Amino acid sequence: MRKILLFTLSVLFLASCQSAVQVEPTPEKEQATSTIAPIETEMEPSKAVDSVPVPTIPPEMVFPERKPPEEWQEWSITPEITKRAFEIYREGIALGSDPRAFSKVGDCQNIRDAFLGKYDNLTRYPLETENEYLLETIKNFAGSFDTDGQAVRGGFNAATVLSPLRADPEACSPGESPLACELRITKPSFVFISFEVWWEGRTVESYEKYMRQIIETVIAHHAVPILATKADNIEGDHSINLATARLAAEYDIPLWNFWLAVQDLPAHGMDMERNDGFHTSYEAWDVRSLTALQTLDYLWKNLREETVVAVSESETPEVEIEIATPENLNWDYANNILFDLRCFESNAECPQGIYRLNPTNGEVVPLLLGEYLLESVSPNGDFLLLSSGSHLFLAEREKGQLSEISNAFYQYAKNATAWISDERFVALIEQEQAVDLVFFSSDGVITETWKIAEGTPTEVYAGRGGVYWDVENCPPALDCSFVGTWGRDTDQASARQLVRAENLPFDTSETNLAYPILAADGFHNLIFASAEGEIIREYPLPQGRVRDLAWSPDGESIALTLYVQSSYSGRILKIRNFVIEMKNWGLLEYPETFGIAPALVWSPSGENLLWMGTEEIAETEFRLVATSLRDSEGLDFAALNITSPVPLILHQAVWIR
Amino acid sequence: MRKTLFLILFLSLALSACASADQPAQSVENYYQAILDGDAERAAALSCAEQEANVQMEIDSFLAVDAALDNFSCEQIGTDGDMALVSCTGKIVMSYDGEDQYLDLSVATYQVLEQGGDWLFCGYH
Repeated sequence: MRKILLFTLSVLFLASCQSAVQVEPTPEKEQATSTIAPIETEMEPSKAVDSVPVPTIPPEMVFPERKPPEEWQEWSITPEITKRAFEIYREGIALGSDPRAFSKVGDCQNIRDAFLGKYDNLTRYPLETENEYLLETIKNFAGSFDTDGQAVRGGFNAATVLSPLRADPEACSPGESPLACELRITKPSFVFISFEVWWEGRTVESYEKYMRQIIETVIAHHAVPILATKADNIEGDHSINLATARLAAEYDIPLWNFWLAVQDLPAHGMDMERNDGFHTSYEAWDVRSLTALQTLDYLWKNLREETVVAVSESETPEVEIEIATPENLNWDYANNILFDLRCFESNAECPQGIYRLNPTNGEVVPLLLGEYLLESVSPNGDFLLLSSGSHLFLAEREKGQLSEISNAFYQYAKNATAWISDERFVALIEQEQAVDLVFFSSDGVITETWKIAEGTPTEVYAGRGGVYWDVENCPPALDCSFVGTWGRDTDQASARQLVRAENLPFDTSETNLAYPILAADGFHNLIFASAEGEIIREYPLPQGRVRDLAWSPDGESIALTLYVQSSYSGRILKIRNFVIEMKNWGLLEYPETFGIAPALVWSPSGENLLWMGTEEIAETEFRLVATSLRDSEGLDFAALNITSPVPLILHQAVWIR
Repeated sequence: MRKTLFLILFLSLALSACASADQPAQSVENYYQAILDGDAERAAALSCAEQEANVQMEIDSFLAVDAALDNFSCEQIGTDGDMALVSCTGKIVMSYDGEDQYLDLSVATYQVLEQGGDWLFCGYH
């Protein structure tokens, strides 16, 4: 009996503790008693629409025929209205879709930093004048632009948004896919669907299979799907774009032809710095957001019933700079840091005056308010060059007066003037439909003019006896394209071109030049060159991109500030600061900083190094910040008293002797 | 004799509890590992019929990221009809283009169904 009991016990033991990892396929599995089907959202799919009247198509409404999908490259950028889109939209509004909300479904190219987010931040990114007609649509869909929702993430693909496993458990219900979750939460009336990312193993068939499920889910939730072509052709035969066009034709839904929108851009909108066949250029990001907005604008304005959505006239945000101002201007700026500020208002830079920062107490005092900018300071600090639009002024510290020396100043450069010595400077001056390098004495008298044959000089720099200038090709009404950098000794007749292919930061010391170049890994290295342009060394930098360069006064060190950016969103993750010592090529790292438009400023002794920029402290509040990187003097800049509701951009900053 | 019967009864109950507590939990752990391994056959074998239809999609959903389980472990917390209910701790760490994203696996309650002696992952409760 005892043996039988022991045997029974052994069997029970073995049965109960057998490995749970039994992966032999079960030939026919029984259906589970509880459901694991995707969670039903509050709005019933379209099968329940029977009680809603079929939308009546107005007689004046026409639905133009599209070319066949095989000719998708000729489809318009902004899609025409389709009959199915009309029906979905009108049914959706009747069933509770939000006429003021749209959603995005896609991968990293659709995150708010890269796609549409700026339209919820018009104070920072004002519309161009010719696009102001889009304001009504922006206001109607306010809040939908600067959000990712639940169906957009870096690394998402068409399968991901359908997979409950990938839904954010904090926001979504158990068993709910990211897509269903997004549709339930937002109840959008339109949905952008765009999956560009390629991965090994992706096939057109699998893309199409998942896209069908996405489209049908969106339609079932009474939102108009907006499909999109992609800029890249990493698959080699445009088969993904063709599949997308076929789906648009089959479901009779809009297709926004982003591919066509970037064909006129350099490299057809692809980012040649990353050159991975997938990421688009920053320029293409802007085109992508704008053409998507135009698509939304066109569809919404043509599908809506005027009574459904009444949008109140929006007020253009008023921009007012708040600056603490003392009663008297103070020209005593010895051992102070002189700087100027610009803001952005109605898509134009707005000069905000010139200030001095006292490094001993952090006090900021206006030097000259109004539409003035600081252009440059003579090496001894006795002369300032200031500008106001196309007017260039010379100011002498002793006199405290401005004298205009040109009314044709080239106002579009960061460095449009440079001092060759205490007695001589060069400025970019527009004359006879060209831009010349015009040399002045320190009393404002023109001494020489250089005509530049290679194109438009757009930046000018000076070293000991030598002048350097960037040249760009600037056809009328088009953005300039970089041609190259030339240098010339002031006592020689011929110029020499430097080995420099991009318009990146550039700085000269008495004897050397430094400028970043883009290395094969997509990050910057630093080129050190002699005054003659002969390359001394290509210096590898930590991963990032140089934002500003500044030689120390003795020319023995160079400070640089490096942006470390997300490679897929472009977001600045951190700003690292370094100094390279020429004597041993040592690289010293200083504390990280954060802010917009950083500038590095050396003290005249080279003992201190200041980092200046502006910081966003709230959506509509920006302030000037300064940090001493080499804090040998215990400088404190915690209480700078300049704030603004719009971004402030530091244009020039110079530490005066 | 009475002592022996009591011992048998006690051990049987204990071992039975051991079975129902460990196997459903391990089924969930194994299912997630198979998904991240991209092993559709193994994941399908660990799934109930309804879940099996989602296996390939769930594998495909991770194809654009590098994903790994981090401190993932599960335990059975109860039953609902013929479903064992499982709760887990840990997360999936997904790396995409140098940036990490996290999927918290401790929020959901998982369902596991016993069929033919196998415990099969069957979605979310």
